[in-house]
Amino acid sequence: MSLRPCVIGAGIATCLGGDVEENLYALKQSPKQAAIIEHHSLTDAERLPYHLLKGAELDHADKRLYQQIDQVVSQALGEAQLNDEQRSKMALFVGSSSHDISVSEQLYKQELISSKEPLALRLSSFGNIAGYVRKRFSIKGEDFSINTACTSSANALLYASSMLRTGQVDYVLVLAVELFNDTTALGFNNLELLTHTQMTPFDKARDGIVLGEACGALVLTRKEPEAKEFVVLGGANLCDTHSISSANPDGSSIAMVIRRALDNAGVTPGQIRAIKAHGTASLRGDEAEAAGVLQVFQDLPDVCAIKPYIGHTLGACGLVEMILFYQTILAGFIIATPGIASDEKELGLKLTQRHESVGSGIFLLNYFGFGGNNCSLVIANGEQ
Amino acid sequence: MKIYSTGMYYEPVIDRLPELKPLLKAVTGQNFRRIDRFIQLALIGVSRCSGEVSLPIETAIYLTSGQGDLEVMIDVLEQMLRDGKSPKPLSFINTVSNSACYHLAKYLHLKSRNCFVASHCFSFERALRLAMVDFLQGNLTSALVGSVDICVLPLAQHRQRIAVSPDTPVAEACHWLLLGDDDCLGEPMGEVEGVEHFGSKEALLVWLAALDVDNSWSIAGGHILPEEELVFYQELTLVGQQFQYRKNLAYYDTQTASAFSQYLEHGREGTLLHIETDGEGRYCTFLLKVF
Repeated sequence: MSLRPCVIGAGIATCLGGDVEENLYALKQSPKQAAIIEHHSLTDAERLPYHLLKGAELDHADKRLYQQIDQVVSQALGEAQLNDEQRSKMALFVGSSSHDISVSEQLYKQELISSKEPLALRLSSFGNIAGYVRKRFSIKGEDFSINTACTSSANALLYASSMLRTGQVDYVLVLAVELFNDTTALGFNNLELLTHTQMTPFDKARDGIVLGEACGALVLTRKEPEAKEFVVLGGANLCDTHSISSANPDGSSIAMVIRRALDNAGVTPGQIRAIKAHGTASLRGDEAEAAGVLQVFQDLPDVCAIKPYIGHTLGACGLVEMILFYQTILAGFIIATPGIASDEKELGLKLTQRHESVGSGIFLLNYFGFGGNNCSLVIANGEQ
Repeated sequence: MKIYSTGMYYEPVIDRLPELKPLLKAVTGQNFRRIDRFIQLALIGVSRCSGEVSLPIETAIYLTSGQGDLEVMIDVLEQMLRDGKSPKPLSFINTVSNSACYHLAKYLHLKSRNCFVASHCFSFERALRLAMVDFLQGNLTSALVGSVDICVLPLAQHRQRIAVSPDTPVAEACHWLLLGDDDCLGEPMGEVEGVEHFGSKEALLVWLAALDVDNSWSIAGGHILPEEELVFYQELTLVGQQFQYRKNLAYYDTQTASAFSQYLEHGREGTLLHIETDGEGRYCTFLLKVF
């Protein structure tokens, strides 16, 4: 067996809870409706459902951001049990669409009140989060901060796996971060992509996104995987120039990125046990994804969606949904969304309605983002 | 990774920002609507790089920047938090830095992978690393690797944002390399022979000591590497001369990218050893060989 990028540690924080166990427990239930967000920067019309991190107050953006990062990275490194030298040499990949903009907003708000010369974006840098993590956890390897909108951490994981596969590094830490900020909340609201109720991807009643907060961390190494360990078999990234804000609704570009991911992983559509859909519950986005999936798969495997549980966590969704997905497989089931897209009438595919039993297999994960950036990943455990 | 062409834009900024629309039209022959300065600069540079070459549709794009699309981010924050206005849809979408990659891919008619990546002090080197990994895996035969840095007036505030002293000359710049392993791209000008990262000075010294240097080599240091440290590495490696590509450059974050275009254009065969540090004990090097 060849050496492969293998998951050896994970940490997660979502609206469902601050560790893997809490998240797994909630994913065995049904999706809960998000609470309406209360924040002083939002008008009544802008107070929408938002899946906020469990137990984390919205004020003090800097403290909040770095506490969450500390928590998930500590979980992942703790599980990975690396020695000091291994940790020191590991590469760091950060995937986020907003990075530390919440901190910049907080600083600027304070300066608008207290400073004669308030300056927007003081001390802002894509590298701030990576810099913090390197110092906090004594990591001296190379760091990459990736910003490709909603595919940011999926691309971070894709490139981290490539670095391992090509022998550039022995260990990688991939970090996904997406916390509440005014820019994102108001920006999405103005795009009229948000629902006032619940995310129902691929359903005829779907009417938009519920935003969510999440942090996730994953440690991978290049090794021969043990039976239950998950590996990243491959993946692909492809820019769709149809529109800057949505994939081509005919599904062609999504079908292409899925096919390239499968080719890169060396598997056929028939070998895929289940698909984790991107599933944003937007009219055109789901239409494009369903069309693309149906072009590739003659016989559809199980299709599940995670966003009804945690919302759209934007740049973090690549890694966070991967972690939740593989943890549920290890726990023996595929995530179900009862009552959401329960038949094929709308878009030709239905989502899993009950927790299908599964122990191992090869799985496809889809992610699509603004700027036409599309990414599909193939992961697996057990015999391949 | 062989280098087939380069393209750049560089303009020191004194007190005003030059209008880019006429230049963009002249360089690309096209009118672009609803794009901001960051994307305009990216398009000018990439158009100069791709020139008359018909790029393979699979040509990947790796874009980096010190601060990204500062203009749109500042505008969104000021409008939202100072003036109480919500972000306009297009402005909000452009706050995500890979929006520029979308416009580049559309302009060049590419259906390929693209990525925006950054790293404090080593942004251009990291973009090269991602391209290198994709080449190593056989995912690519051609790639564009580029950087864009814009200024936002007033310059006193801009200097605060990019953390340089009040009297530092600043510039806007964009640099692109067309990399590949494909005959249809033409004759290669040179080659990126390696991009290396070192977690300590000791690791760098071990690597430097193993280099097989000849009298065609030059050495250069990045913005943060102290001059005396560069001299020390020059003496250690026995590289004959320094290549001082930053001597006449006003400051912008991804100055390192300028080493490629300047060294490729200086007209001599040889190898450039470039070293940069983050000032925190990490180092990054690349070797650029000119044919």
